[in-house]
Amino acid sequence: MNTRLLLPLTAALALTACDLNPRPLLQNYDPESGGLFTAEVDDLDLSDNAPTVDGTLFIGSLGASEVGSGTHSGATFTFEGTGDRVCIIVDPQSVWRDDLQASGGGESANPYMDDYPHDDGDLDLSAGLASFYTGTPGVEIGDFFGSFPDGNGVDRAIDLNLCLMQDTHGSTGGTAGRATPEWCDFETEPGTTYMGVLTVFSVPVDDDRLRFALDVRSGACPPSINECTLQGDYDELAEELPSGFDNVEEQYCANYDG
Amino acid sequence: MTSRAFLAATAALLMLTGCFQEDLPEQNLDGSIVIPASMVSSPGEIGPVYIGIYEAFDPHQLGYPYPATAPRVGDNPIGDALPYGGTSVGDFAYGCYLLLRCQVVSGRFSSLDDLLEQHPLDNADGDPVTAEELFDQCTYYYGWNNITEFAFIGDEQLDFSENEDGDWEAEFRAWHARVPEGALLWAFADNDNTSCSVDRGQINRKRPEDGIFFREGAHFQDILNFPDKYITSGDFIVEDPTVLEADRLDGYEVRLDYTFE
Repeated sequence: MNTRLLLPLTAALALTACDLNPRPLLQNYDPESGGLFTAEVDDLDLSDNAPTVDGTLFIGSLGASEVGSGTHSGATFTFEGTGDRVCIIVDPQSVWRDDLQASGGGESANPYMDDYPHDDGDLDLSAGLASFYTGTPGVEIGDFFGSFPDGNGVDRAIDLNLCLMQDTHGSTGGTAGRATPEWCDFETEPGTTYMGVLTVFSVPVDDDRLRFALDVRSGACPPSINECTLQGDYDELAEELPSGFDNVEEQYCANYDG
Repeated sequence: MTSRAFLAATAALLMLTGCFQEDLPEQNLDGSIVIPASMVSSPGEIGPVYIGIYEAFDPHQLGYPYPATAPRVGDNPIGDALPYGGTSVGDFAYGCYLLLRCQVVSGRFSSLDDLLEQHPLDNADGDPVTAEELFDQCTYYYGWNNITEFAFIGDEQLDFSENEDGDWEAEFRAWHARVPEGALLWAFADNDNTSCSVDRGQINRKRPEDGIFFREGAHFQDILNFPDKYITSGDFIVEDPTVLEADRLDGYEVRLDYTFE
């Protein structure tokens, strides 16, 4: 009996000796303070070059979501409907591709390359009527889910997100993976305010910041969209690039044939 | 721990399981679907039958019997029918040949000859594939060595049987569905397999040997939400939906007696 009691006690004591601080494993860990960053929610309408239909390309960056609490980082922007289709494209940065470019396509000195594909950020795009948005710009990221009691008295949920993308099997409701552009187009009512939402699911681990390029344009989206459709979603590098390129994305896209 | 204490703890645990009641609103709903004998001569002609539990009925929106729908969102031509739940009778099975992808429905054939009679195909020499050839191909593809191993062939696997009226009847169970009083059971039979996607399902199991990539085919995900996308000429539809009653979870009958033209 004593032996049976002692063994589990010893094991429990041994386990306490292995206790580690798991916080550095979280994407929103701040190594300087040892604390956690709070979710960052940006209202892009307040920026100097706020996204508008057929406006200039918007380049921004977002911090990590709070994994523990499930509070997302993200950004929102509004635009007026044109009476025609409106296309929204967002391109999150691709750290692994940038590292390959910076290293001349060979081995990368960046230790985060070892984590591929876990070193790229991911954000999802949604959009809909601003009146249906459940979040608060600049404060909290929401969605376009609504609910209503049906004729049989059952509470029903309905997704009023208009930004519908197809997955690889052709089914509606897909989202792109890490570092991959997302886009959609949909009919809009003239003069009606629509809300675009970027929701962060992960950020690159090299600097815990996810850069992105965002464009809102009138009409349907182009039939083919890739990493080079929107440019500007890259980190500034200290080292010089070959052939006089200013940035890794420009270098990559110069030889990209789609 | 003494044996007496161990027994007491075990007994207490067993008693706890007997008291466990989740009170979930979702329930299993049992019933049967009936297809009049005048509409088909054999079950092999019946595609997968999709049965849904819906809020209400709207025969006017599309001009044929159809559930009521939620508001239209985005580019969808009509709204989501928002089923409470549902199931299917029969599922798509890969029939060992690429030509049979999205063609074979489980629970329809008692023998390979029956299957080939409904879905004839030619071999590489241009001759009709025989039951022996189909058996060999399935042995190669799936590794089955006996007809009892065939997942989509056999008398015991047949979904439909003739009822006392001579109609074709099959039982169904809709798992874990909301079943409010007044909701409707509505169904359709996809007789030309429009609801099967060749881009879905398992990747071919003999890919390394055959050197080609394809998927075996599987049903789309939104069939009960947007049945209109998959209802085409020749499909059977329920014209008079069955109304769910309070506190009744079995014994429902759904008749598919309307043919979509």
